[in-house]
Amino acid sequence: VTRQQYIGALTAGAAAILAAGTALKPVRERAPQIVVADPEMERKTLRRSIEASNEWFVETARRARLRLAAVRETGATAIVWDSGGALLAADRGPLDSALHVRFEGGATAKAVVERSTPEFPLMLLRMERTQIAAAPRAVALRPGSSIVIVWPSGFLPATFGGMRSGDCGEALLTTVPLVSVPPGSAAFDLSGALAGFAIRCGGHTEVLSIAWLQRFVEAANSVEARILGRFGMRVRIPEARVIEVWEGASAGRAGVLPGDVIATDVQQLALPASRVVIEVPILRNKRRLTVRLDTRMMEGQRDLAAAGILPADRIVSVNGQPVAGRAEADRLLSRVSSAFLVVQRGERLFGVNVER
Amino acid sequence: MNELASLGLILLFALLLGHLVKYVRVPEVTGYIFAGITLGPSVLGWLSHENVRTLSVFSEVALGLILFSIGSVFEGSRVRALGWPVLRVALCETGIAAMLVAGAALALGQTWQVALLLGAIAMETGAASTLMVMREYDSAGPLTDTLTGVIAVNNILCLIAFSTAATVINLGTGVTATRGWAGIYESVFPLVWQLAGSAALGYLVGLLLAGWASRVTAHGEILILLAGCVLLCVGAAMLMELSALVASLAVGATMVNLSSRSRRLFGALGQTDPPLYAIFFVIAGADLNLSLLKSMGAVGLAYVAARACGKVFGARLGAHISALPLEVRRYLGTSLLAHAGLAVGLTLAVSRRFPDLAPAVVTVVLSAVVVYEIFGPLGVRIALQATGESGRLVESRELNLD
Repeated sequence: VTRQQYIGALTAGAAAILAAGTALKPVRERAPQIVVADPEMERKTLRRSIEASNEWFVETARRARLRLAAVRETGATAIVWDSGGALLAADRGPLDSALHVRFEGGATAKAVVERSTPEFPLMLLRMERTQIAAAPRAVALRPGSSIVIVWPSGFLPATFGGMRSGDCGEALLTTVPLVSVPPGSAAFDLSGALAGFAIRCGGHTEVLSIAWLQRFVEAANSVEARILGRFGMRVRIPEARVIEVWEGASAGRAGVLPGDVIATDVQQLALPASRVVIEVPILRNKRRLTVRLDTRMMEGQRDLAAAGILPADRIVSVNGQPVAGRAEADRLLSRVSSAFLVVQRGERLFGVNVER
Repeated sequence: MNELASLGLILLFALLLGHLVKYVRVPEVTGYIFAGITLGPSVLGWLSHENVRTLSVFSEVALGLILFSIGSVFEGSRVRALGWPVLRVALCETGIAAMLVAGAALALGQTWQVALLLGAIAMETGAASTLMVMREYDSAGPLTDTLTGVIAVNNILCLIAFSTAATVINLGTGVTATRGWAGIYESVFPLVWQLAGSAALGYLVGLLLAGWASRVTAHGEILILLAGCVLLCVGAAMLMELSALVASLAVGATMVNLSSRSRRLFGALGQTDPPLYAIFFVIAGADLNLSLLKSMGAVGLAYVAARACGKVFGARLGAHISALPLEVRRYLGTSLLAHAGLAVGLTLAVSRRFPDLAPAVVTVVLSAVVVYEIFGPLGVRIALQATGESGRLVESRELNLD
């Protein structure tokens, strides 16, 4: 055997030993983990978990309240909507009227009503000073997400169950009843992003979805929306023809009828008015008429709206007494502090209590 | 403190205390260990446990280089001349030390498993500190040759004994009873793998080193090649759960037998490695926990005494049987007392494989290491000077030059 052959044999042997050893190495089994049931430990762990959750809810509510403001004139609650100084309030108010808002930290600001409609107890305010609080990020929730609904004096943890079609629009379905949630409360997800805003609708509270609220806000500056909100009449813009008049609203009281044509610049009706009552020329069957439109929202409308009655609803009876229309109902309601109303909405009849 | 500053401090303190201890005729290695104790958590605390852990990579490399140097004793001609006497001496000193330590532990009420593990670990002689003292004193002669060979065999025997003891404990305590043949296989495999696998790995790396060394001529290139091969060997051994110690020994043994340039390579290593060895011993000193001395107890004291007796009388008996020169018979035992390196590594293996036995074994071994690392190098110096082998290497080099 030559030296080279000897070295070659040794090398092959060494390589074979390493290969065989690596292949035959016993695999160490991991010791099975024994789960020990300890009720006391489980109870403590659960308690710590609940306490930690509660701390999180308290902290989220504290942060969220910095974005909540109270409207001084009406007491309604508003939330900062965008970084341009817009606030969304759970109330109605005359368009372009000046209001005052007060934030949690004590800061105050003047705000103008930019969008308000009798359709929903919602209005968009625009602050003059915009650096008061940053707007929360909006979020689209997934079913099963935890949320916390926050208002100035409390909060309510809940779970989001999906979207539903509510009386006032797309609303959040929650696993807990919203009886104790006041209008103006805002729903936040675990990251502190805004998920919804509560309004009083049809005699109960609904947390409207962000998507629905965004559509409401986008319509804030349209001429049709402002005229509808201000006078209770829907106008088709190119020909300035009135296509819908809400009974009890300013246009209805002034005698405007569907089919009338506004005989002046329609855009002017959407602008802030310097007078309470404005005279508007209209054409009806080729006759020229002048109607007097009141730019204020009437108190009776506010109460009915708070009870969930829409301007287009027909009031059938007040405290069992049949009424012919909205004017007669207003007259009866002005004499009592509370009443039971039967209301017709489309094909449906329903009853509602109204508190004054 | 960051790692670079730690390294700077380690080297400067090693130099300082290495010089200071010379005034009291104590080996430099002991000075390095004292430097480590001073800088470490036991005294000044400038080197934290984290620093020591981070710098332990230097220890691994240094230990690899030391064992690589020791591997050169397995040169064919040397093995033929000293092979049987060295093996007989190693068997006697390790066997008697193991029996005395195990017996003392049993007598003091320890379980047979603890006694078996302590006996196996007590067989080891600290290769690094012994070799460093021999290098410091430029020793040459029969004692130096025998001592180098005995240390190499001694460490291999210790590893075999420990693996066998671990297998016996596994078999005896019923760990394997529940798992049948699979349990026996799991117990025996590490014993075979650690020896055969490590030798195979060391041989392959040594072959690479020897083959490449014939094509490398510059001093710097030789060092790069050597460092690369030793690092590869130690790293691969750790990765494959082999013994870095046996593998490094095998690299040295292969190199010395296959390459005609091995002497040049070992010479180049001797000129370059002092800073690495200084770091190794300072870190070893910093890792010594002096507070363990308080908890040493009767078993610890018995371990120190029984091991010392076993080493001294066992070496004497072995040397007598092998008919070695009188100086070797007298002083070989004294120079085999150093205790660290593999012993510390085996305590880690005990903690991993036998966690219930670890407290008894680890405390005793580590506290004994503190004692032996301080006095062991002193024993080597005394032996080398008493036999007159100190400084003989320089004389023989000068003679060769003439």
